[in-house]
Amino acid sequence: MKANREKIVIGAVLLAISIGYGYMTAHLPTRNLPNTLGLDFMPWVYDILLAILSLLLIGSGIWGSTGGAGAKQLGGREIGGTFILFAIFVAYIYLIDAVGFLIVTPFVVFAMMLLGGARQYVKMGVISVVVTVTIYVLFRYVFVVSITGIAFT
Amino acid sequence: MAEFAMQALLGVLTPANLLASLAGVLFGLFVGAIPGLTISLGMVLLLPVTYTMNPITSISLLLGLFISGMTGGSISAILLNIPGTPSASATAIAGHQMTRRGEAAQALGTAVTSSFFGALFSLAVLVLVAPIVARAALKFGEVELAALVFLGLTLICSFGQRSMVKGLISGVLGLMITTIGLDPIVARPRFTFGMVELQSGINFLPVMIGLFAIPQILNGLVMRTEEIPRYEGKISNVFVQIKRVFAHLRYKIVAALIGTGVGAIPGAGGPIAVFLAYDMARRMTPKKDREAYDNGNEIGVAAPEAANNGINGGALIPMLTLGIPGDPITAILLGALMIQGLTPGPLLFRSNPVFVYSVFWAFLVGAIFVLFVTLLTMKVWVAVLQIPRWVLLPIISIFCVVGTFSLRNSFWDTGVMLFFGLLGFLMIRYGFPVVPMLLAIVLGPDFESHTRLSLITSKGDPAVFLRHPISLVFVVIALFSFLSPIIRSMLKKKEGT
Repeated sequence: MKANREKIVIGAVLLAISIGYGYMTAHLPTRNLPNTLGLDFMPWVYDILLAILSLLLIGSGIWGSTGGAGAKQLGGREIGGTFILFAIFVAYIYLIDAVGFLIVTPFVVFAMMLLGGARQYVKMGVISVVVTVTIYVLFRYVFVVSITGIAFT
Repeated sequence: MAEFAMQALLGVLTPANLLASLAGVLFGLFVGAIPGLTISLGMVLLLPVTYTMNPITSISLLLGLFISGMTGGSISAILLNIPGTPSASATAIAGHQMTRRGEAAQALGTAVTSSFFGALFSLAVLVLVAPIVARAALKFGEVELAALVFLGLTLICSFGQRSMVKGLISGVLGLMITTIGLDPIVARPRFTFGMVELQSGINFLPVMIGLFAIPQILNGLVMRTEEIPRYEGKISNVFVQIKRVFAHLRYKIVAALIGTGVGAIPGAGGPIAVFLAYDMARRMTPKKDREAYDNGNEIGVAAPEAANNGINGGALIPMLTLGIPGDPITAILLGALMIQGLTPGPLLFRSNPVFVYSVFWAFLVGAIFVLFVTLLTMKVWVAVLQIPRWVLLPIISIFCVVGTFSLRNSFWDTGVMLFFGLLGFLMIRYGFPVVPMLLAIVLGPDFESHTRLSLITSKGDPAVFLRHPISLVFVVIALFSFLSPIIRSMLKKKEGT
């Protein structure tokens, strides 16, 4: 039952995407070269395919065999953990440029280890620093990638 | 031809390229051995690094990883009964039973030597078959190329997927993503919303890293979907097993043939080959020895492992000769070659034969390194199995961020990676395969240009795909791959009533 409900919801979302994509495709510039297919040709093909497949998915949710547990229910810890992990990534991306790789990375590695359930704080601290320096040296001097070690220096 | 081969050999044997191959082998053993880390993940992590390398160094690194990753998956399969890679699933059946009887060293040695045999066999097939296929493919025009890419996409989206509709949806979404950016024929912007970053479209590298790496990081750090047991036993000298490379030859030949053949079919997948090989070896075993086979013996390890690495060479055939990747790993290899400005396909054999021979030699060098390095350092990999997830996954996360940043020195790509990471996580959660999306993103631009050019030359007549014989064959096979699961399930329902 739950699997069928999921199919209907996901199918509806995909159908909405297909309608939005179709709207944008309809507003693409029309072709201006003779005897050529316009730049909207393939987008229309993909849009129609997605619409058909979405309807098939919705149909299999409505008329398909009942049963199937669907996706496992996520608990509060898992949902919260997902938000925290993505927040760490976003903050990290912003802070590398603002503060510098060498300063922010040990904290990010430490935070991720904490999220992963580790509680040996001294070991985690040492690993965070060693990993940061190793990756910095590898990318900066071996692969010659220009990442800011410490900003404002 | 001989001078190209010699030139290529000298190129591959430089210290830098040998070092790159060795580095790829070590990293591949690492990601292959640890359950939860995949060869695809290892390859996407190294992809940004290959930007700064020359093509031969890049291919030496990645092929080393490809071959050793397949071998590395057998280590945890044998010791812990948990395959490090999906293709090592059949090895776990016999291998872990041997471990329980105290024969872990023998099982590991058999796995490594059989993998080497499989890799050599598939290399021989690749060297013989690839030039023939490439010569035939040179006759393909735009119509045939469009139909071929269509076939590749439909095979990946429909073949071997649990739900064909979901596989097709994943593929179509990938194709829609490829329409962002400049139109390939008239170079006008589409769906860019006036943003400069979208003018060049969505770069497939951050997409690859996002789709493969982020869901695994999420599952390991947050969901913590599985706990890996520890291996407490001792491993005696594994290197002595090297003399067993050509033991059980007829089983290994058949298994390697199965692996190479299945590997050459886009979408077929490693697990199909290894289980076919395991089953075939059982049938070939004399009846009086079947019980020993079922209780786990050397042949039960040798056959799936020979098939496992037979896939390596087989999968390279369609990728190198036609530019059609058959699985995520060859899609990533294709991406790596495109980064270097090389376009796999029949023209590569004509325009850059030295590079093609370099691929063959790099494959051989990688296979030799895998054999010796794995046997000599087996105890290291057993210890590596004990590294906790909470150490590995944060390191992988940092690699992902810095790696995607290094592509164009832009955090935009890192943002794209995160977006596709979240999308990949949701897709996997709700049963949508990510591989069709990835392959559609890689093949989509070619598919659009070949299709539109074919229709332009035929003045908009779609029957052109049915009038050309080769194109017609590809279209018929594609339709068959759509319809066969439907027909199969209808027949099953009829049998049941």
